[in-house]
Amino acid sequence: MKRLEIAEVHERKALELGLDPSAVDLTSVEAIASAFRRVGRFLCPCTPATLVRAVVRPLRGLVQDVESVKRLAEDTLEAMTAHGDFQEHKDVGGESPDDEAALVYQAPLSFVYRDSGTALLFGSATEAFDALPEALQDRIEHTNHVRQLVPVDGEDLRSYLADLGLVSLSYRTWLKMPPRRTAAEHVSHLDGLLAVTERSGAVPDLVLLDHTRPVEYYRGRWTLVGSQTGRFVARRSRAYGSDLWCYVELRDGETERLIDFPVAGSRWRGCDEAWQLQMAIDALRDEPQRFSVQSGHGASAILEFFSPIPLWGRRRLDAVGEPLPGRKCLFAYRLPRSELEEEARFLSDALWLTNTTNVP
Amino acid sequence: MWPAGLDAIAWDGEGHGEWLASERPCLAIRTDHPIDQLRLRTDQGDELFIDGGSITLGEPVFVEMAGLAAGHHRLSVSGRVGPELEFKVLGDLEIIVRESSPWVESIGANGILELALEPPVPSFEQLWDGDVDVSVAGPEGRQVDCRMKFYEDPTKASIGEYHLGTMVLPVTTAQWRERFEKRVQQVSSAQKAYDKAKSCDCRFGAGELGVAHIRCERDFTPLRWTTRTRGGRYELRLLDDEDGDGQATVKRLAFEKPLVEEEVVLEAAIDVSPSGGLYIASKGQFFVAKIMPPIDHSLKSLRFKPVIEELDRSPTAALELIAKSRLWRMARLPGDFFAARRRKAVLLALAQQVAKVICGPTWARAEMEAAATESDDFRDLRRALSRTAPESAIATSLIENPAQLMSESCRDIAERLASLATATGLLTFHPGPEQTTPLWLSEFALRVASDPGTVEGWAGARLRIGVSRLMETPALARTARFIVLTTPSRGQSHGGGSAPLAAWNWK
Repeated sequence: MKRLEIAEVHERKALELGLDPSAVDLTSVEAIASAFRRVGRFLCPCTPATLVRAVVRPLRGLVQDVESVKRLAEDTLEAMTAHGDFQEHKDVGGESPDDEAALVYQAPLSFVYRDSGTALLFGSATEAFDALPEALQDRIEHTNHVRQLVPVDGEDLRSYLADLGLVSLSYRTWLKMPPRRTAAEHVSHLDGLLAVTERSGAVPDLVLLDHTRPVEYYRGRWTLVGSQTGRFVARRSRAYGSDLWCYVELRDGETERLIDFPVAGSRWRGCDEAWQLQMAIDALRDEPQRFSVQSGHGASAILEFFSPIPLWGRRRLDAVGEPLPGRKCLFAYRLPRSELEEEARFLSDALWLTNTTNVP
Repeated sequence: MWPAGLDAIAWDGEGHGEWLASERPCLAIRTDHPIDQLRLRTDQGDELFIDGGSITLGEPVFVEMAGLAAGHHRLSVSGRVGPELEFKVLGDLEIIVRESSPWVESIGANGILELALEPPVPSFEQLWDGDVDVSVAGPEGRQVDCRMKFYEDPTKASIGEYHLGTMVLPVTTAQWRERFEKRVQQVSSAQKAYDKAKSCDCRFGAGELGVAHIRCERDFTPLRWTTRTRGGRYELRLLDDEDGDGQATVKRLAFEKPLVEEEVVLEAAIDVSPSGGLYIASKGQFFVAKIMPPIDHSLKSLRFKPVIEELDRSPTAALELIAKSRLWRMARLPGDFFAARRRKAVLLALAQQVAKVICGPTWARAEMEAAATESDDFRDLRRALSRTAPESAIATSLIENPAQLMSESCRDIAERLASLATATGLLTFHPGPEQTTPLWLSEFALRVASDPGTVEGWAGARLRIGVSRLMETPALARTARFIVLTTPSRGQSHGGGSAPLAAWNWK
């Protein structure tokens, strides 16, 4: 037994997570992401809140501001779910088919092979960290929540990883997106679904994404129901389980109609559908959500986002760029400048975002 | 006290924590009153003293437990408020250290794709014969792609690959079985490959949701049949790994006469009769039974009906029919579709014959007439049943709600039959050394009526007493047979794996 100082706890536990303690401590996104993968092995399927609690609770006494670490952990878990480390679905083994609780499942240890020869890794295998050979484990490059392996000396990583038993995902499958629509088509489609639902009656504890509030500050757009009239992206709480995302029609603050996300038959998460709808609503109001472009080191550019985007958008950015912690924004990505034009076009066409900078 | 840095894999907050052997548990300990010294002691004698002067009230101190072997450990935390005072126990922590569970290849430890198998480790033969329940759970509406490969040598390329197509999650046993029958079992190349193959791998792939495999190998038995074709005819070879002296004996039962055993001379290669049949090799306590298909694959061959000789109405005759049913039922099938169809026809005919012996000739005639008219109202059967009030009332009560009957398991139906038979006085508890409860006898009656080939394995030493009781209470046997034959879909003979009637699978 040995008494440890705070710095020593950070160092030893980062090492236990397979990270370089000279580069990261337990409050880094890399360590938080690794800690999520670790607790996911024991706790999944469970609610996102359970995972966050299991990662943040042991940091009491080790960090000054537990609340800010908690927010970072929530954002990291969201990024990891979008990336493919976790999968969010209704309880597949649930007794009641009506139970709409979204649970987080751990993805199987899998990889996407890129033309460059690198492999992006997702998910987890065993309870222990030695599912991959040690030499390979040591070569994993962690950048925030993303892990990748770079081939050495012409090595065929794809065959090697598949032989080890990792699930090989095609790039196309991993990047699968919903059919592309204009913002007007998208809103009209969901308005149509809302219009044909039965009147819902009062829905307690509803919080709205208020589209009249500035698009640059996502957290500040959430508001309680007052006397609003109109259609809103919202979340409704439940006595047990996490909140449900929904689309509501209000008249003087009273709920007239409501549809829950994800809509029936959808493969996406409720939040993905809600965020995309909000982007379409904002675009139709001529107040589109924004991203900005900053110059990065060398031939790179930094894309900054102010609202969350659906997982299929995050994955595309994970594939071409490198996630960065958000400074004065919700999250950011560093991209090679050569990719910038195409990605900016994608954000504009598929998510109706507008570029607030003059760089393309 | 709480796990510090990284969470324990289990922590109840009340003195119990669990870690993996590859980890070094680290604990945060905080006191809410000033102390002079803190003492931590493990049951292995490892001790650590922390001076109170180095502890800030309300702030935790961190302690690492290194070198804990897999197993149970106990950590005792004590404190004293003055240097001269005794240490007082502040709390105990039970620590469990265990090895991590092995990697389940392709599926995450807590993955969203869940493959359920019953039995959990099936043999290749069980899978082919349809005796395995396979279900895949996952996000509703997502698709899973299923492919199957057969291997003669697992280190070499597969000898057959079959695409069962995509299925929508969740996949039920019935859906999987239907797809397996259509896309594998009934495919002639797959049937041939199955006869050669020693193992198979069935892969369910659902993209990012994961991949699940069923991997199975042939049963290992000291006696094994191998088949090959030569000049359009089948040959059987017996592989004998049994140590005992002496030679195995071989018998054949023809599809046409499934009760009659004929001796077959054991040669290095046995020419299989053109009409196929059941081949049984036995030596000492071991035996192996295999069904060989007929060469004729015409429609006429498919519509064949076995002939079973008349037997007297006695428990001995019923037991002989049940024993023969068991032989046909447990015999291994080759890949050939005709072999499976013919076996099913034999099993149905044997079940009919068992019913004739137990229920009597009048009942047997009614069954034949009902089958000939192919009517859905089973008037003849009802007439044969309704001579006495209880059996008619029970049958009517049981089948009046077909939807309920279809949703119930075989055992649920047996329970309802027992309850009704007891309430109407048809069955009573038989005390004594050979006691039979109404529930046991009701299940016995339904099993005999639907799948007599499995009765011996289920009833064990009580088979004879069960048959005797049933012959003493033919009304119960008739009621059971009526329920088996008249329940919508339950009386169908296609699908359902190796059970002769699809919906009466007693697994």
